[in-house]
Amino acid sequence: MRVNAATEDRRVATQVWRHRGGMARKCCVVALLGSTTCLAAAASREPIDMSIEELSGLTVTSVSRHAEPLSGAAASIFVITSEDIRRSGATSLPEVLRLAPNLEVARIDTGAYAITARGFNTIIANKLLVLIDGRVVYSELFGGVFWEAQDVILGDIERIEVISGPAAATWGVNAVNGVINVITRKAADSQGTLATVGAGNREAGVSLRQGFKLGDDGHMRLYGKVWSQEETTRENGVEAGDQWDRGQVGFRADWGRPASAFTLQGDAYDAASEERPGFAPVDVSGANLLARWSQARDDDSSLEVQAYYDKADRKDEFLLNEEAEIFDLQARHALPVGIHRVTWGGGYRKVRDKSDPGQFFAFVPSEQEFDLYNLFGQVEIRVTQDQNVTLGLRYEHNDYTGWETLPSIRAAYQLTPSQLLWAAVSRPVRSPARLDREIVFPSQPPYFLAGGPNFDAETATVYELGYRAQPTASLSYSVTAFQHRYDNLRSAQIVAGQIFIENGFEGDVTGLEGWGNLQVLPAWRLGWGGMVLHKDLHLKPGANDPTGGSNLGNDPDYQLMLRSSHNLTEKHELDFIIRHVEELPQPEVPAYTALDARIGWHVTPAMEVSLAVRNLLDEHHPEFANAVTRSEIERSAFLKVVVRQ
Amino acid sequence: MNSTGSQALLARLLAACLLALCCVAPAQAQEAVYSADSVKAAYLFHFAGYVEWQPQSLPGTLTIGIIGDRGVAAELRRILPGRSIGVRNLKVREMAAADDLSGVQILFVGQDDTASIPALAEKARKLHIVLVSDDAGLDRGSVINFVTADRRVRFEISLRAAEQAGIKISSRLLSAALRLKRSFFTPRSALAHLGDEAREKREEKREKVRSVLLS
Repeated sequence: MRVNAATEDRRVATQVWRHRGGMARKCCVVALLGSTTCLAAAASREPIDMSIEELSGLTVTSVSRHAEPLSGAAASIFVITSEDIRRSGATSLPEVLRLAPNLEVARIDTGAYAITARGFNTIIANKLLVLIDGRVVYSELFGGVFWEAQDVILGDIERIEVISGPAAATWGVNAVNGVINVITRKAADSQGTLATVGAGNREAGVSLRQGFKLGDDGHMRLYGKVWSQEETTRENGVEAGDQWDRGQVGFRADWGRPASAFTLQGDAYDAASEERPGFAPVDVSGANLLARWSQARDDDSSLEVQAYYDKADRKDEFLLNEEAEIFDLQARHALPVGIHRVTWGGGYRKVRDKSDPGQFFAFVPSEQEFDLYNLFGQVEIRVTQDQNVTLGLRYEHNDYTGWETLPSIRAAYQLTPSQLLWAAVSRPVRSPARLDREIVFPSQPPYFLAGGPNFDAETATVYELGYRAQPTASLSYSVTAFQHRYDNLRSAQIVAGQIFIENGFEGDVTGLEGWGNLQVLPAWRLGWGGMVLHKDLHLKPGANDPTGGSNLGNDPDYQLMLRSSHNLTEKHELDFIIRHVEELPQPEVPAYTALDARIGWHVTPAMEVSLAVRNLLDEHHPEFANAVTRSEIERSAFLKVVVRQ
Repeated sequence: MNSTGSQALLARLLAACLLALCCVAPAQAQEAVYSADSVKAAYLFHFAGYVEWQPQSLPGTLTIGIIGDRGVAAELRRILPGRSIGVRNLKVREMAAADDLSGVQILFVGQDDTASIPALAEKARKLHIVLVSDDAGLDRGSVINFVTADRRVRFEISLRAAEQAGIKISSRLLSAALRLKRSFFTPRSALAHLGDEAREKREEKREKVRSVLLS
């Protein structure tokens, strides 16, 4: 009955509008107001009339003033929240990572990205540890991530913790420059339906997630996703042939209460690119299954055991083929000791890695099996009410270099309730990947380039000093100064006309990174961030690599970003991101400034429509690789409809 | 059909579609959007019914103290008259962080006064007050903390803080929480004598009172 009344009102309004005149317009306004009050009366149930459970599901209007508690962590951590992801207009995980000011994200072509923290960015960047819900996603072949194979339903990401700097004592080898921890929502927080349909000039796709209860204290979600991306064009005008089609399905189930919780989750995916003339088509597929059991006890201690199996295949004749199987088991126990806290644990990982010869590269032997062990301990000493010192030590055993020791000391000083000063000294290690020791070029002997049989682990001593403040509820910012002193960095050693991979470089990388947030008005928030980097690498005595260290990474001197989030009305929102990346030295890539914008409309509390435009300022620009073969990253628009029930 | 005729038909079809959309949208907008203040005020009202204070001797009227949030205080003033928890009425008292807290059963501290929570938590513990914070985490000492994310207001509970303040929290409230902080005591100790029976009786009484007042 109420709906009909509203329809009537609108018909009256439209008819009246046709007759011009101020009087008619006034009648129209009255009619519209009438219909709105009619609707308001319809929604007369107020929060006070609802149960506690219903309150948890209500949609509220105002942007919260985000008085995040000042984190006491003695590390440089940027958290990408689910709201940040939703409002950014990003459609893939690498694009979401652009939001972190402490990451360098360079798009190489449709599917390939070079991502790192604090320098050394290449397509095979190897100083970053990336995890999705505790599962490590890097390849043992080169110690880096194949970004084409990593996908999640963005709407089900709870948050992404981007830690720049060594977190090696906690996370292990490879976490030399940083850790990216993608955390998805618990099944209980992703109930109901989440359907996303989107299309644009460069990509289109559908994703569907359904969450439901499992018995009394269990929840589960199932999801499926199909996505298609267009090919890019190279700077010289030739089509790159790198269209990608991908599909992924998966699930997550959680049981129990915080005292004793069990999680089971898994995914399976298959994605392929087109022909890619000049290179080779790429085909990635894989599946994984993870189980985690955690327990929180009355004595304030906690125990967590996690095991997973991960199978990842990649067919890429031009770059690297791989068939990998990983089995990983980790346990962690945390307990209070007086006013202090001790965490300790260990793990085992079995890797079966096979790489068939490609057009150019091969691995000798083509198949390898590794057993990796780790043992770690961490003591958090509460020196005074405002000061604590964390001592961490980790031992890792790998089949190439045996036992590696990764110590770290972190100290935090709460100057005032709204200011924190922290400092850290650590010694992270990057143990050899298969590429360092076993790669050969060409794929048949005689070899021109070969991995070094004595390639040692890369090491670093890292000094960090950070400051974090939240002077008012609406302003917060943090700054970190760092110096990484590297030794035994990978180099090419020329010996009698052949090239061997050795540890011939050393040097310092010094820099500054920082970000901040200001809630200017209740409906308008600004964010900014940036990073400055200075690299000073040189050859060690006896080394003769002629490239000057450019193979180690192509990094800008600095990069900046500015973000604006505005709630135009209760139902409309507007977001901008301006990001500037300085030029890359070798190979030369010009500096660029990109503007991304997104306008969102909450049609109903269940349905959201958004239009996101990326690279508004220029038709296309390159972000990485040499001028002859690199792709231009084009301006793109994407229209998306999201339905949540 | 001639061109103007088909144009008119098209125009009419388009108008019909647009009108249909207008009908569908308001029909679904029955599930409206609320202000965060009204949701927080509703939560505070409910908390009074799912918490059991020690000692048992509570005054006839429960007081909800509000520090630093005029919006939530105004909402509570608007909705509390005529409602009760069991046989007890509720009232609101706007306060400052330095005020004497005796006589208050629930204390809500707004985002602007987050810095004063640790000191307030000390006092609240001794007086068995349920300290509720807003987007401030549970590390400062509050028992319950509102978490606003994804356009929803939820809450998390610190069982340790509740135990230190001598407050027992019902299982229903614990189940509705977004997170529970650390030490989770065995069901028996934390939920003692807040069994389903007692809860159901209280709810029945509340329903009766509400239906009498709102009819």
